[in-house]
Amino acid sequence: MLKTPEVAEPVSKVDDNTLMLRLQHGREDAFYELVSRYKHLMVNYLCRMIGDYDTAVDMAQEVFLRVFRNHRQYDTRLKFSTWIYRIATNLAIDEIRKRKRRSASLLTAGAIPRDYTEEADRTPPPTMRTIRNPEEQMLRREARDRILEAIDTLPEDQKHIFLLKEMEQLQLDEISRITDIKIGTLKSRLHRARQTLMERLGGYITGGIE
Amino acid sequence: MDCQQVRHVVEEYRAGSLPGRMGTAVRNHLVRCGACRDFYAAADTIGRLVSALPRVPAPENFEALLYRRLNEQLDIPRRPGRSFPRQALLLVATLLLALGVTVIYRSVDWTSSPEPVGLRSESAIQDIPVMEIPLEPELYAPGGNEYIRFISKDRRTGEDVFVQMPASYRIQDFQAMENVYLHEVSH
Repeated sequence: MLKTPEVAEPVSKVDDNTLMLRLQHGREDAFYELVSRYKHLMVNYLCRMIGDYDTAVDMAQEVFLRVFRNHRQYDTRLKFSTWIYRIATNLAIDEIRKRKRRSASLLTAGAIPRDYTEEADRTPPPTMRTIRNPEEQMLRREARDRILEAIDTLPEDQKHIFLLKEMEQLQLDEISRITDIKIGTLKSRLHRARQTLMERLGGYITGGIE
Repeated sequence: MDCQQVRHVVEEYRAGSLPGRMGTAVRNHLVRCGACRDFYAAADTIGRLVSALPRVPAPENFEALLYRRLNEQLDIPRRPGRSFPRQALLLVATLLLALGVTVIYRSVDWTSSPEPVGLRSESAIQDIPVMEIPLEPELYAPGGNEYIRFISKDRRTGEDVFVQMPASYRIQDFQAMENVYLHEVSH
């Protein structure tokens, strides 16, 4: 057990890197806290990347298993979120490539459990009009499905960058560290990804926004 | 700023991280240029639509499944929320074991000593047969006529007997004698 004074501080109040430092000193409660902090982020990110909830859950668990197995190699001067997103991204890309080889379907709205799609119906996107009747609700659900399908059509080298930027709301410099891609290249790929989405969603974007 | 420069920094502009002068330049360009304004609006709209998609949560049993896999793969039996240190558990177990041993020890009469004569009734004492130890010249130290009596058990029958023997027998002689006579006594 660590003997430094900060050890007495509850794990819920310390930052990610300190938790990793504690894990490196054998404090497994630090690992439990990291799982608690990142499990939803990982499942969400991987689900959007892969399009299959059960596979995403399984892969998120693999992410944490790798975190635990490799925690001694982790450099605590780096940002933990960068490290864990890098692990998740690499796993997701491998999975997508495997699926491509098997010609399996990728991200579709139907692959996400019904409970979660219904959650979307209760929380309208800010750019959409407030839905007041079943017809509009159906249109909004359709628009959401179209967005997910359009993201699914993005090339592999654009999709994870786009999701990290727009869904996970990460900064470009962090995405650059996660993916080992220069910021200029990231920008051009994001630009191409948006152009693709605009082409796919044209009517929904112009017609569905106030 | 031209269109290419503006589109190159549109991410930073959306994030509000451009330095003041450059931010103003982008804003001025967007006011004048319809194409870049559309570009910016589309980027912003798509970003907002995607960020507003519902978050997909982990299942409730996520941790349970994870720790089971950890146990299987890494051979470290762990559970979330383990609040009791292992040392404390060991200490409690040791104390409970010690307490149990003490209780058992105290419940057993390890001496098996016969009931003191003084506690027995007069009639009970009279019913006890007397086994008299005869004088053995080689064991008996001459010079005394007193006898001692004590209650012992006949090892063969398990019954009480009074043993009467010269008081001048030495202890070690008595022990040797006891081994002989108490085996041989019969009623």
